[in-house]
Amino acid sequence: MKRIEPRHLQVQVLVVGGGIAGLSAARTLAEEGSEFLVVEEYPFLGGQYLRNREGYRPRDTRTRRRGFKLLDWALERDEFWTSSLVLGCYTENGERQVAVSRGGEVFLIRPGKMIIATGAREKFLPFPGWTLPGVVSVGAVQALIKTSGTLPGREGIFAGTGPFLLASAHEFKKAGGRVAGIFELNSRGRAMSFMPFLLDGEKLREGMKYLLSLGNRLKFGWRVERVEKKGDGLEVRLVKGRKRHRAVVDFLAIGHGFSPNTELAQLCGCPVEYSAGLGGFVVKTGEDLGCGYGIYACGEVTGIGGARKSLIEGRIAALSALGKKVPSALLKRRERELRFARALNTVFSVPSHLWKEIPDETVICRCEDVTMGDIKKAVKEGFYLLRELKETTRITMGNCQGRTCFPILTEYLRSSGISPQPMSVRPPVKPVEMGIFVSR
Amino acid sequence: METVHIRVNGREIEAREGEMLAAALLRAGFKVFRKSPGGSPRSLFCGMGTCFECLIKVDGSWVRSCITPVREGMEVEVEED
Ligand SMILES: Cc1cc2nc3c(=O)[nH]c(=O)nc-3n(C[C@H](O)[C@H](O)[C@H](O)COP(=O)(O)OP(=O)(O)OC[C@H]3O[C@@H](n4cnc5c(N)ncnc54)[C@H](O)[C@@H]3O)c2cc1C
Ligand code: FES
Repeated sequence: MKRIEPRHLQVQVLVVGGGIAGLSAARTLAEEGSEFLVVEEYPFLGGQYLRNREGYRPRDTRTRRRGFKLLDWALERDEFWTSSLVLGCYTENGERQVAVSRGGEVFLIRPGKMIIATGAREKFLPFPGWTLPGVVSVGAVQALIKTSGTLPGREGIFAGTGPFLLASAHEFKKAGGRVAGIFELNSRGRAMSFMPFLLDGEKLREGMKYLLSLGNRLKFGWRVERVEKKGDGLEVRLVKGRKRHRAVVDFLAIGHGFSPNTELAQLCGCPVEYSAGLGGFVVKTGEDLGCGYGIYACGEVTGIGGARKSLIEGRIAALSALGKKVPSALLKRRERELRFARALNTVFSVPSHLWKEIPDETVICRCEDVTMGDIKKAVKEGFYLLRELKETTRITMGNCQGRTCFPILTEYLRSSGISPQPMSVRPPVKPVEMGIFVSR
Repeated sequence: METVHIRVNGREIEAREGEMLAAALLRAGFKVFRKSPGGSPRSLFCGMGTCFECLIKVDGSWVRSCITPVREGMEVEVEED
């Protein structure tokens, strides 16, 4: 076996992530005449919002029209690398190098500036049975439909919190599925307090469309208690105070908001901070979206706020990276999106006591089968530093490197009065096949 | 839409060109993809490459089937229940 010789490249601006934030940044870089390269892990461009698939071009809102226009522009160019993963940053002789794995090769890129637009993942409030096949994330339902035209089953329940439940259920219904129920964790009154933040026509119209289509299926104040396998389907048990509800369906889709993908930014030295209003640990930046070392961050990674925030921030990050002045109108529009983001993440959050009430038998770290009981026991014995919890329980030590369980652990510890500690991240940012580093 | 053929545990199934492997498996009735260290069955969960629950062996190497497009002649191994 001989080692693969990495290939060396130089580029003015490297953009990590080909979602709507990365695309928006790339477009601005192109308009300003800058050289750039966008690296995207997925086999397609567009990220969570656009998910490029031939023939899939809904243009029902302004943001979507703008997004798909950007996507179609990007598809015509060759500065976009798909199926390519940024592994991490290294400094050699005072110079930053970024390692990218692509098609079995490793590229070492020396970027002048770097824009991190790595998006977000979903967050979950776990319950016994959430690891069963047939329990999927709300996003997985959308992804199956958008990318593969496949339904996760004929009939399903959507449970958790936030408007995304409705968006995904709507997509499922449109594709021919039967929505047995949408169970929002928060009360109707709390959800209604979000209405004034639907500040403009676009978001309000989208919300009304979902309510008209599925309003009669939407119930407030319900939480999934447990799920069990029943024949070919799943038996879902829900609670609301003293009330109980039981249903057998093909699948259960769950989602309790989003959590920013800060790992790569952390590997590159960017600071993170915990902000409940922005969805958890976010990359900390200045108003110009810079976080030092010539690195800029944009989109969901700086705070969960939806596609329009990502569009605006992509432009700001690109202008800042080129040393151009950011128009104050653009900064104002970002402020507006941040207000929306804070309302969204505050109204549709999981009530703190529910993290504490997760039953002991519940698996928290799905990769390593670590349960809530294991964690409580360790905390009781005095291990509440992340490093100690890892050593005693193996939490966050599996393949996903804590991407699923770390936000859960953070919220559990917070509900117990222990302040959130950022995760220490090691390269590579995701486990890679050893074959990439060793040629056969 | 073009059809491609893949083999799962030796059985040939049809898939749609451009779709992700996990979707083709679910449609063909493979509900379980793998077992956790404790032996519990796992399948597609996040659908976006984050959770690593959909990890399966394709042509001898491990991939996340939710972000791996199908390819004609793929040899796939899943751990059935
Ligand atoms: C499942 C899901 C569905 C959503 N649906 C909606 C919706 O319907 N409406 C809405 O307004 N918002 C939705 N959101 C919120 C959504 O994240 C934003 O609206 C929008 O997609 C954010 O764009 P972004 O570019 O910031 O992030 P993303 O779209 O998440 O894009 C980030 C990209 O970076 C890539 N990436 C990450 N790390 C690396 C790496 N190390 N190397 C290479 N590439 C990397 C990812 O593969 C991804 O494509 C959804 C979010 C999720 C998770
Ligand atoms: S289902 Fe989570 S990585 Fe594929």
